[in-house]
Amino acid sequence: SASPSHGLCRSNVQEQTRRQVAVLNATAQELFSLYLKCQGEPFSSESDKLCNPAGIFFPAFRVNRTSERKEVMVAMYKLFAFLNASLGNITRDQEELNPMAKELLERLHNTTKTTRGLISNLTCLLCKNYNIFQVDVRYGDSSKGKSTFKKKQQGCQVLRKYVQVIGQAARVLLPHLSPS
Amino acid sequence: MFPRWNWVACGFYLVLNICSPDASGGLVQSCGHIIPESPVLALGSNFTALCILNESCLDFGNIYASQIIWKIKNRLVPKEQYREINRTVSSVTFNDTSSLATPLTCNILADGEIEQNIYGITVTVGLAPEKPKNLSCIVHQVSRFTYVMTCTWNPGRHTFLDTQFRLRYSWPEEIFPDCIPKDVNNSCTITDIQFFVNTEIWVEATNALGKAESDPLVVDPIDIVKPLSPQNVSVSSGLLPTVLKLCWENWISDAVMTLKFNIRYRIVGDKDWMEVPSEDTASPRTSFSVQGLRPYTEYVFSIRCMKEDGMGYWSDWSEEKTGITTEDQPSKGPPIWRIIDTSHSPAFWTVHLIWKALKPSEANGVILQYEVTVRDKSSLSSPVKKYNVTSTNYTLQLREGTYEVTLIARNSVGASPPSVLLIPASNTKAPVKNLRTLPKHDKLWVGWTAPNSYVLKYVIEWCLVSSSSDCIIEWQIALGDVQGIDLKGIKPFKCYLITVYPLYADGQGSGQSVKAYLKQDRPSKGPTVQTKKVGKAEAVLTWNHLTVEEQNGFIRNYTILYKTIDGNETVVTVDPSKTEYTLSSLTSDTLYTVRMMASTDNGSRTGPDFTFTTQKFGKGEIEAIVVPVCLAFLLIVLLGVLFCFNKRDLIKKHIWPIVPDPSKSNIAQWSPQVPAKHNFNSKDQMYPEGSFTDVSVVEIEADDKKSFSEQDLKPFDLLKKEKSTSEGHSSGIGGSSCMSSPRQSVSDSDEGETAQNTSSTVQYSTVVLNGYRDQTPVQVFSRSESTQPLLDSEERSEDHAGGADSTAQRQQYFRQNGGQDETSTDRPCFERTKQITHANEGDLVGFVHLQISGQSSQPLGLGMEKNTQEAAVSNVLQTCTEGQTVRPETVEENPLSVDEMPKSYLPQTVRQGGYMPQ
Repeated sequence: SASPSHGLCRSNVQEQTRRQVAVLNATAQELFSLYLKCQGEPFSSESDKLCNPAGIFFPAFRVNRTSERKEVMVAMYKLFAFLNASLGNITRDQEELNPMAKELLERLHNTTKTTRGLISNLTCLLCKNYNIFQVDVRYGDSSKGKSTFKKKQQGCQVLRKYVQVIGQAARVLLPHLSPS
Repeated sequence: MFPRWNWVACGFYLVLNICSPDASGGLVQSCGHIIPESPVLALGSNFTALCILNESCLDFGNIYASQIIWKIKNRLVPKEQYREINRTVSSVTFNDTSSLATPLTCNILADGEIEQNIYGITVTVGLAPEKPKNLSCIVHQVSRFTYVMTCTWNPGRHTFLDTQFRLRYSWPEEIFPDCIPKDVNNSCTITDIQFFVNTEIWVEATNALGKAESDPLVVDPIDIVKPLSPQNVSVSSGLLPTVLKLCWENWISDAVMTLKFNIRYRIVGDKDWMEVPSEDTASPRTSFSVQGLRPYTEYVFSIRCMKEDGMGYWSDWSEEKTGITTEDQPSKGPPIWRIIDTSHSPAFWTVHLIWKALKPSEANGVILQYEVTVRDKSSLSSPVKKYNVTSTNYTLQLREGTYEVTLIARNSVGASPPSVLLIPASNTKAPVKNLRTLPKHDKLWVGWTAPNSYVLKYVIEWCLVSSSSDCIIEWQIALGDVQGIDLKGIKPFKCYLITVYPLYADGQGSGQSVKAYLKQDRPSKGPTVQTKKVGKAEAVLTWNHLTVEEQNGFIRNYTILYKTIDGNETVVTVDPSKTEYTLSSLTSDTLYTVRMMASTDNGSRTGPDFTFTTQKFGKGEIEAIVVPVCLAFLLIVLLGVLFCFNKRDLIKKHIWPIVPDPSKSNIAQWSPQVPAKHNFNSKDQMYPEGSFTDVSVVEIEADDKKSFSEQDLKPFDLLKKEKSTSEGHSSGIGGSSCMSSPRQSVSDSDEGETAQNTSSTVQYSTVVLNGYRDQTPVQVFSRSESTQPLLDSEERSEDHAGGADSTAQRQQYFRQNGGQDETSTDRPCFERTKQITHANEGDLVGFVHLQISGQSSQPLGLGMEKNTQEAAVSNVLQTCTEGQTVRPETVEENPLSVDEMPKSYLPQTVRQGGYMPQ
């Protein structure tokens, strides 16, 4: 990736990152619920079964409040890099499948944009604080070419996992990114 | 030199070279070109262009760089700016591109005369873009999840060129698409923004002459948000009458941005907003209870928000919502006052209780009724009377005494504290002192000095003073610890009567009054002045006071301005209480103009002009002149009379000269029956019947005779001679006046006799009508110089008959020169000579004086006496000195009584032939 502009990597980035995670955490459940609602049956009634993320790839987020900040930052970067890509795919699929679901699309856009900004802030923190200029990131499977159901299901699975992980991330990040 | 045909061929070649299509299907190649092609130049810089001729043109057209001329828009560029670089290249240099215009052309002079264009270029002059300045951005919340960021900047000077501005923004690792302004060059709106990321924003300006970038703005868009104002605001009242609760919804979730708020509110109808303390609403919330409100009051609320940390912008105020607090019991009793009417009987009062409705802030709800309680304090046994009233006044009929009135206002929640008014039998307490007023903008401040005693409160009454209507009282109550209040609703230029009553715990002080204006103006009209009395040197002026509506202020003085037509104006200032003033030291019999001016503190107004004329004489002045004059005149007359009386004999001698007795004349001597002597006092003696006839005696005084000229006397001599030989029935006499006249006076007398006294200065004749015997003699004076014949005897008879019974006519005689009549009341004898004509009046002026029978003088001219008793004179010729022959009237016999004859002298009538003085 390109080297960050150190002029923008200021001290407030930590707080910005925390606020971004908080925003994602605050909106994740509503996004998931709205997604289910917009996919129709059977997703709205069989979400637990259909949206079980067990079968999909999702970055491991094995950090806690006691983990090193650098480790947390790297895990966060991997998580949101994955989410950004996955939300992009979901948004693209929903624009195709549910073009009239304006609120869903708007929320998906905003969430995607937030993860995008989050990645920018995490890059800043990794570079500035830990001189980490490169992190190995794994993205999920592409939904291109899959059936509508599969697309919906994949999105449902990702979002469900996202709801779970973002809450965890918010909790982990709180002590690490709080203003000192 | 080229031969002539050679230049023609050259020009033809040039035209072909420029205009003809070449073999490849396009135009033929130009003879040259300019570099640079269509340059864009910085304003004020220098510029050099080159015109390069093609080699082919050199060969065929003999065209060289030395023949090149440069033009700017058909204007020749001075050759000093040319430079021939070689035989095919010419350059032109401009030190300042501001002198350039387009097109710039390269031309050639063929044969030194024919100008041909080789090439032209378009020159564009402008400026490089300036660095954009003052970049600022604001993020507007459009909807719950939508935000747009609008950035504005100062684009700098005008470049005269097509300059592109673009707003650029980037994250640390990402540059976003530029924002290109539409139709403007100083703002652009970005729709794709992301919070919580430091974003670098800058503006880039680019044109043909360069590029400029603004200073970058690094900002987290969340810090420049102007959120949407809270929505769905609602107001609800709670249990407390002083609390209202506001609820609302925020457009932004707390996860994105926590908010703080401003809450403002006001009473409906008020303009000024009150605000809830900002610290009370500095934390995120969606509701707030506003406390300390008035009961039963409708409030308007509005709310706004911004980022909790104060970064960014306040939202707009939300829509206004209203709410009403619940009722509470009235906070105070209504102010109460009274007006006592004792006009019917001092012992019985008609008490008008009046009170003011409580203000909404005091009523705390809807006042349902008032409770009035009246207690007679002078009689403990009297029952307390209660009245429930829904209006704000109540009238009681009370016996004179001391009463305590209590008033309570009641609403749905409860009753107010009571208002107590003591109505004493008399207002004997101390009044306020030093009552004064002072205008303060649109209010009138009333101040006073409190009495020494403790005052519960004051009642201030005021009313608009009017000349046409009663004073409608307004009132207000002030607490006892104040010594002045502002009266509201006072109109400017109106007179108010203000009265202040102090109310004590045990009585009431008498009222002190003062008149005041909120603002004064000059009077709306001036006084109309008029005179009450005008004398020779003074005039009493009166006027009426202006009505209070006309005064517009306190009349400080009246000014009287008066002047004569051409004199200076005199000014007199008069006390405003006066309605009369006496102007003194005026000039008599002079027209004065006076006007009057009324003055207030703020100006004056003059009334209409009034004019009067002083009298010519002062009072009693005429009397002082006339009375002495009259007295003096009377005195003179009296003295004259006395003198005349004392000198009557002498006067008589002069006036009535003694006429010689005709009986003693020569004629009388030959006339028979002539009285022996004259007795003028006795008619019997004078005219004894048949005493004499046909005799007239004319005596001319010797003195007068002396004045006669010989010439004058000649005719008389002739007459005398003739008469002496005739029957001698007449005799004539001429006076001095006659002698001064060129004419001869002639008197004829047929008959009649009398003793006659004539003045020697009078010319007259006596006519004796009858024979001298046995007939009543009548004397007629007749003077006639007329050349016309006298009337015949018939006319004379008629005249005689008609005038017989007219005494007045008998006392008249005619004058021939004017027909004027004069009356001699004492004349016993009447003379008449009929006027023949007036045509010869001018001939008669010689008879200046005709004195007849006691008249001292006669007006100038010749008169003819008329006497109805006269005898007609007929066929009597009168001859004047000029030889004119006058035919006198025939004088007939007139039976005149003898009593009428005395004291007169009888001019003698002279028959034809004249008369002869004796």
